[in-house]
Amino acid sequence: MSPIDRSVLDDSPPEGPDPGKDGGLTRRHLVQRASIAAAMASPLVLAACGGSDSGSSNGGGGGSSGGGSGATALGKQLNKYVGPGGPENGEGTTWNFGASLPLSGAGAFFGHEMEHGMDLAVDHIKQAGGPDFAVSYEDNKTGDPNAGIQNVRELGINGVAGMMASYLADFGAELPGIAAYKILTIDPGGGTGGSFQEEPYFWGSRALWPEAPFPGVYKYVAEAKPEFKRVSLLIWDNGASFVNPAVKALEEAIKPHGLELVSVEKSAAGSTDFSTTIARLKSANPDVIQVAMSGADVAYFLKGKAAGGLTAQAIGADWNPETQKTAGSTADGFWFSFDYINAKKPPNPWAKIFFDEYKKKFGAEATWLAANYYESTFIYWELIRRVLAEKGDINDGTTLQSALEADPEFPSLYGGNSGEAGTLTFDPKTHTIAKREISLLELEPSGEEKVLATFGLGGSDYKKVA
Amino acid sequence: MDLHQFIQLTVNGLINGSTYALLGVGFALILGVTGRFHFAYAFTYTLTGYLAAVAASSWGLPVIPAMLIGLLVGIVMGVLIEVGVYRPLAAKAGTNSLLVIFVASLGITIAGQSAITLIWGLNAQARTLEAFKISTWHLGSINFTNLDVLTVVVAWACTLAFSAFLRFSSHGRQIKAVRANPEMAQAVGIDSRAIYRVAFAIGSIFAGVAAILYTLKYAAVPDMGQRPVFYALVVAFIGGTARAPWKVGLTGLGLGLIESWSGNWVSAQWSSTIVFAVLLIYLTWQSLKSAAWARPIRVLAQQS
Repeated sequence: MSPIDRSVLDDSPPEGPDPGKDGGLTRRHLVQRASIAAAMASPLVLAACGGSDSGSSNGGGGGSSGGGSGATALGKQLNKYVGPGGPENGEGTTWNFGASLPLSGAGAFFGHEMEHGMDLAVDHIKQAGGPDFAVSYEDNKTGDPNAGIQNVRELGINGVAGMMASYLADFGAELPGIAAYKILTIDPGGGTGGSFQEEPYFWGSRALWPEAPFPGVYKYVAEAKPEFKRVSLLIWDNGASFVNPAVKALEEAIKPHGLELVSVEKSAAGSTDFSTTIARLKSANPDVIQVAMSGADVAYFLKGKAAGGLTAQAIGADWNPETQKTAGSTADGFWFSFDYINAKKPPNPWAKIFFDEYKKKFGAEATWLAANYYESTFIYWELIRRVLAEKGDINDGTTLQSALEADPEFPSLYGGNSGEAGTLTFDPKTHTIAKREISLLELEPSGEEKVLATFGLGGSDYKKVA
Repeated sequence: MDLHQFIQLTVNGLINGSTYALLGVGFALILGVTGRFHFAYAFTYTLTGYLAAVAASSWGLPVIPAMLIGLLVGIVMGVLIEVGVYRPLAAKAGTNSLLVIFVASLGITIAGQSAITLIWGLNAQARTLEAFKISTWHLGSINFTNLDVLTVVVAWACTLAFSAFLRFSSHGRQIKAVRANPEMAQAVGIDSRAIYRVAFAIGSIFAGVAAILYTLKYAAVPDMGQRPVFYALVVAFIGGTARAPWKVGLTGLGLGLIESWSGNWVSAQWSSTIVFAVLLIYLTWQSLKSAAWARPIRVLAQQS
């Protein structure tokens, strides 16, 4: 019997033939076939990452109408801020609505926040005498392009006229389908970003992420920390169409204040180990690290930053209580700036109703994500109202979009005052929002958020607070 | 090249490489002894880390018992997967068992991850575990934490202890016998099936310890096992499934250093790609060593 070549396995002397474990395979064959299996494993795991699709909850055909029972007590309160209900405003009508959300994978926790915000809005719209929104929730597996494309195809085939997106419409992957099926789509989570403005049927209802706060933030940095001169950018690597506009926006924001962009570090979304990035950042020796990541990645970066002895001031473009819990004390002194809404200090009565009702229904404090998806669902009701007033077809995305373009103002949870809801205004050209108050905040060791400055888009109406 | 950056990356590589060593030793043991492509290693890894964090945070247990519970459940799950899934499938599938078991283990991983998300992950996805205050230590401009030191010590203590166990204990010799030839081992009175269960138990211990160290450093999340299982696979293939554990461990250490050093030239998001590139180069080299068509290349290489 000739010895078996075990060189693939080890360097020990050859032994007798090895009939293998099951059915006569040699060990060499075993390892060879296992390596084929390993090669097969990578795409399988990546494709299956996160689990199964969410169940769809598609209602029946849209357009049926009937008499309604009128708004509830809560609904009547809401009517003061979001407009009237009744049959002429869609009451008794079922309207098909879609959503492509991260319901599995690393972003699942945030996807369920988005879903909760929409669920609450659907309930409130009905209570306020509006239509029945029959929502089909589709899972984009935390920004997976193939899943997003499939979601839009399914929603389009099912004839939905309106849809909520996330992750900048799966970083643009969903846009061709959205245009082809003419689905009026709003992304309240990622917005349009710098790269996906002016896209047909695609609108963003939040400030450009991550770049909208940059002008106001670095005006504050220049005033409050004149000794800071060097800036590094740590950004998710979601392709040049995402990274390059952010780099350009940051350079434009810091240059007038004499600051210099010294390095750009890219990170894969979902990273936990930032040790190499920290080492490279230490080498660049920045005073400020602009963090353009979202979710738990920010927490892991802050942990790595503390462990690695990197003392530069970190300024983030995203924050939420889940991230704070993960980061723990490493988040003390962290600055963040985006269109953030504070559950503990609702800016207007509609926002207060939202936060109170969210906590009652879901047993947890709502975050800005849930708030944005709640607010944007009401945009569709307002559009339905307008189309019905013109006797138009509420199941036609083009008609809905025309109504939006004709009057881009809607009630908002942001802004306003103690007696009135705020106003959200879209820019009909760019398809992103034209006006939004942004805050720059600092996390204190107590866990409270201290407002450092407030400003509008482009750094307008800048006000230093602390 | 910045010398300080290089030294820091080396330290980072030694720390990460020690974790890869732990993962690789466990995976290599299971693959080498049983021949099972245990992709569900990712699931036992995740289950241990997640359960330890849940036991400490939600159930209010002290940290050490919480860790032990997580470890115990991970071990039991690993053994149950062998006894309840792999063995029956292998008995039915015969010569096709490799693929069948791989598919089954993939299914267990996906279902298990989804189950963890459904049970614990919807309301609070990331679960932290705190055993002690993590503090940063400095050697000049080089930084690492007390947890990093613990990780290295625990990883190598486990690896060396297991190496000694395999070499000097009768049970260790039985494991090596089954690894070499399970039928012959059975013929001389060693219960191969029992050894398979032991292999899964010990492999799950290695995965569980790595998971707990990871959870202490970062947090437990439902998909935390995906990356480690690929790293374990790479280390096991390159290190060898029949080699002494300390040699497999050194392979893990080397992989950690290569991954970290690559940060001198490429951005961090390419680190996983670098690891798989190493595997690809290794497998290609192994193929070239034996392929008939590559004989002229080998001759040329020898002559030069």
